Amino acid sequence: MLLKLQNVTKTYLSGEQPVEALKNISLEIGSGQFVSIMGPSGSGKSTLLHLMGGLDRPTSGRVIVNDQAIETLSDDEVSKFRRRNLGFIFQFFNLLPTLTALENVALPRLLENHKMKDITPRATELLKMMNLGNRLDHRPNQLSGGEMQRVAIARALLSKPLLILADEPTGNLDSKTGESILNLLSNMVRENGQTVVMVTHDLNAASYGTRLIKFRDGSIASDQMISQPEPPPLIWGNLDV
Amino acid sequence: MKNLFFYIGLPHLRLKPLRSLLTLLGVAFGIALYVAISIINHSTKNSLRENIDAIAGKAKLTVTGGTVGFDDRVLSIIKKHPGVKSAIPMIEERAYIAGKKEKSGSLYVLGVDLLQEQSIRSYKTTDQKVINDPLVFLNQADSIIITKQFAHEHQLALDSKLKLATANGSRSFTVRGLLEPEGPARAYGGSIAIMDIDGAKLSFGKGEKVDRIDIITEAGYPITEVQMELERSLGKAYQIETPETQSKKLDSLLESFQLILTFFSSIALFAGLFLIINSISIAVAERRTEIGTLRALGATRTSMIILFVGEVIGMGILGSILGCLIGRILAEFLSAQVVTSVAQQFQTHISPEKLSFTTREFVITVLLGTLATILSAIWPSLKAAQIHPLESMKGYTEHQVSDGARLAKKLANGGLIILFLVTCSAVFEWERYSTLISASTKAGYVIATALFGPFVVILFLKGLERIPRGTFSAVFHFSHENLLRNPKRTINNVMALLVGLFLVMLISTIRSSFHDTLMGWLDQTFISDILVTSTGRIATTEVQALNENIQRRILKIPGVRAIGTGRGAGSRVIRVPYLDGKITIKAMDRFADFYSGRYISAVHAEPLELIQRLYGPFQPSVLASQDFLMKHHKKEGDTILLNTPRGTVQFRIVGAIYDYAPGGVLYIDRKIYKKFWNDSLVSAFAFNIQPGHDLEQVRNDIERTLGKQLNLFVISNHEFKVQTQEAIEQSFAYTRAIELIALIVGMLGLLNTLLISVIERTREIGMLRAVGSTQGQISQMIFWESILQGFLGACVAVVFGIYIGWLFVRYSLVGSIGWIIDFHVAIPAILSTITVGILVSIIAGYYPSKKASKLLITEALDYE
Repeated sequence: MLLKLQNVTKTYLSGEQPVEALKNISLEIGSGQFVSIMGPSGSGKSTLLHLMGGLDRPTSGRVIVNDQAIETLSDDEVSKFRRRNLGFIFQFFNLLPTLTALENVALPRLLENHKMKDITPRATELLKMMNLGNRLDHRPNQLSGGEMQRVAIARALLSKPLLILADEPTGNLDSKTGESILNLLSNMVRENGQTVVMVTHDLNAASYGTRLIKFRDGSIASDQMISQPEPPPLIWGNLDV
Repeated sequence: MKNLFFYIGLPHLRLKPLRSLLTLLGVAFGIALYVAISIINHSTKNSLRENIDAIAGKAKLTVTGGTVGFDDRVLSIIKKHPGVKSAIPMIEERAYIAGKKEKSGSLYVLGVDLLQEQSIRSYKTTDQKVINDPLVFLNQADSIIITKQFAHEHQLALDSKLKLATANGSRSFTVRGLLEPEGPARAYGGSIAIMDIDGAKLSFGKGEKVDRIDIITEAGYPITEVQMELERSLGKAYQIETPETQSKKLDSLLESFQLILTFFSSIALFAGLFLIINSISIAVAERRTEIGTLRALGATRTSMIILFVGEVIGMGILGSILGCLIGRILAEFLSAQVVTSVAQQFQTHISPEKLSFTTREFVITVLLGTLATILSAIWPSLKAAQIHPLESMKGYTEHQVSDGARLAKKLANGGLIILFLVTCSAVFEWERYSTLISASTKAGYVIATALFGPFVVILFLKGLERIPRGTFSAVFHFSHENLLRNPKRTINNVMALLVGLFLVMLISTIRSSFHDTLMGWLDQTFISDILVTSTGRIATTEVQALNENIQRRILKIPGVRAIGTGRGAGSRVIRVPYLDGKITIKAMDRFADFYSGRYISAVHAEPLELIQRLYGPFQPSVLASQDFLMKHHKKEGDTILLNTPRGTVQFRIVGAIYDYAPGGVLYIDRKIYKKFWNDSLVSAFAFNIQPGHDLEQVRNDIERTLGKQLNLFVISNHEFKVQTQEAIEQSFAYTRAIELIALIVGMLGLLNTLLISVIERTREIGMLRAVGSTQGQISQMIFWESILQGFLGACVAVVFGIYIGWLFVRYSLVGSIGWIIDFHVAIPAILSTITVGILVSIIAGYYPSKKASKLLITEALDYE
């Protein structure tokens, strides 16, 4: 199993009042799944994503990614684990404004101290795959929302991570661009066998997943597999977003 | 890590050139002042050492005995002493060009025995005849040799006449030779003249005394042994020293003065470094999401520290190099003022021409400057490392606001603790225990102000909330709210300006305390209508001493009234060695009793009582200045031993007085002084004007009848006070430049933070414009914010400047220079600090306010 959560609890202090964001959650996610997580605001879905990515630590319980209990790792170790094994896609893209599209994609490897010239072929290939071959030297402020999110996806794919965590990846995009992005993620799962965990408010977006987990008040309200029809082959030229 | 710097750090510096430049300049100016002061301190010491070495020549030991010299019969004793190969006497006297009131026309006259001189000092003149055949020189009593430099400066040539003020009036000398800048001619910046020793004795009223005897020891005799033997046989009245010991003594004399200079320049350096801390703190706050993203993508905490430290390394190196260059130029500008101050305080001459800043010093400064920059970047970098990866996922505005309010309190608590510690350090004199404690205390003054100040500003701002709406314009209220809404930003802005303004207020307070104390003391003690002196500057007692019999001739002039018991009151001021330093002796004629001793500023006693004790039957006695008593742990009734030309004499301290001559002062009855020092010269005569006579008329009469002949000058009570005031101003002239630099650094800091706050608020400004704010209103809003911060920062700077000034004057100053100064707060200083604060904030706020008003609404709304 790629990802295991065992009796995970997360409690925050809101002022002096403890708030239980996650209540004793146990969950397993296998390779090649596209898991959509839904729930109202404050239901614990984002907290779950943060724990999966090692961005936060559980109050109790275990988070095991690819057989590694990440809550036991030191801050530096979990940082290194993240950059080697996980990919992140954020709602607001989180591209570095001072870097070009190519450099943004290369960032995880730059953090590993690889030379830019060694990273460039793979980063260029990913951007071309995202139909951004003509935007390599553009900075984020020269790109549209959809383009920025595709750069962010390319960045998440750079290290060929087993697990991609997406926090509302279409939340800031128009519906047409959003659909293209979701198709892209869906194809990645199907073609590369990568695992995507996506938090979303949007039922339509969630329907692109192969599994839908619904959260309510820090607990799993439902967990169901979704049968997906064969999606149309992705024609990159259509992704004119 | 290299990647982080090149791909993340460097682009930030490159894409924000104005901010990078402002930070760079902040570091550069901070370092510049430090460099300038270091260069001056170093060069002053070198110059003093050079003077000593140049005059000493080949001498291994030098015998001296204070300003008035010692009996020349000592020479024969020394010559007979085992281990002494040769002993050469010398007269060393500062002489003034006759007819010039100011001391700019002065030179050091070395009265030497040219027949013996070649064995100890070598002179080179343009025409070697005078040196090779000194008899020609000696046969003409008016002969003098001056340096080529002095000749050039005063348009003199061979056979020119040079009129000098002597003890018996002005006397004309003929230039017989011009010295090349070698040997003793290098000393005192070339303001050197050579005369025959007997002629010098006569001219300067030395009688049978000499000022120094230079000794060359026999080979094979250890110098220290000869020194000890001479000390044993000559007694304590004589100082027998090697040139190295003389240098060290001068170094230690300068130490306290240089410590104050270094203190001021350290604050400016700290202000520069503070700019770095501020700038990075703001960058960290601004780039919170970016840092969070990097952390989420796998950047470690350490790499975040390295990233931010790396960003300032380049700034540190460039800023330090630029600082060195500016500092070198600044040193040129400051040196004349500092040197005047040093020369005035220590009554010695220093040539500032040779300001040296070696390549080695340059490299060390750049390295230290860079290191200091790195150290100042560590704290904000640690804060960056603490940013959680989750910051990439959420907005942080609210978090930042509450964080700012908490931060102000936290900083204030830290500031309060430091303030308490530095207060304890000053009050309980911990500073005396080690240089480190002393330096930390001084740094603590600044840090406490910087940390506590913003909290006070926030409190002020909260207080302003009580002002009913409508009292001021809506834009003013909006600006005020903006400042309160983002305390973190306000803290940064205020801190940037505060350090500079604090320094201005601190210096002003110290300066006004000195000024008011000295002028108050002078008003109390200087009561005669006129003073008659020779060329020089009486306010700093740099004058040619006069023959005491001159007073009889002055008294014959109509309108002149005796101030003393039947005569003019003469006073003689000399500097004499005491223990490891030098003190001032003021020997004064007794004033008539009916003056009630008003001319003495007594400590815890009636002046008349002290006068009666000083001139009473129990002699020899002295009145001692309070700083002398404190420095030497003496009290009334104790005795002190003074080395006089007549041997060591025990004096009883019969009272404590206030006097502010450097090193401590002793008042002695001039009759007693004449007896022990064998010196009847007078530095100045005090007279009153008879009722019904006009002061100007009497002055003209004195100058007309005796002035030209005896080179006398008359200054009125008022003129003397003005001259003293000028001397005080001159002593502190250098502090003006320090204040200016501190203000520039503070202004750069405020400009930097204001610019950032405009960028930070681009979207908010766009929104305000969208809902109908005019360009003028936006501009006014930023402008008001700037002025409010400048005003409040200045108010806090005033409060802290006064408090720290009080600590410094009341406690630290006593420890460092031994002067007891009354604390005075200058109202003009308060007003000028507040005005400067507002002006600086207006200058700093102008560009950002224009920039904000010109933002395009649509672009501003889209700004991320």
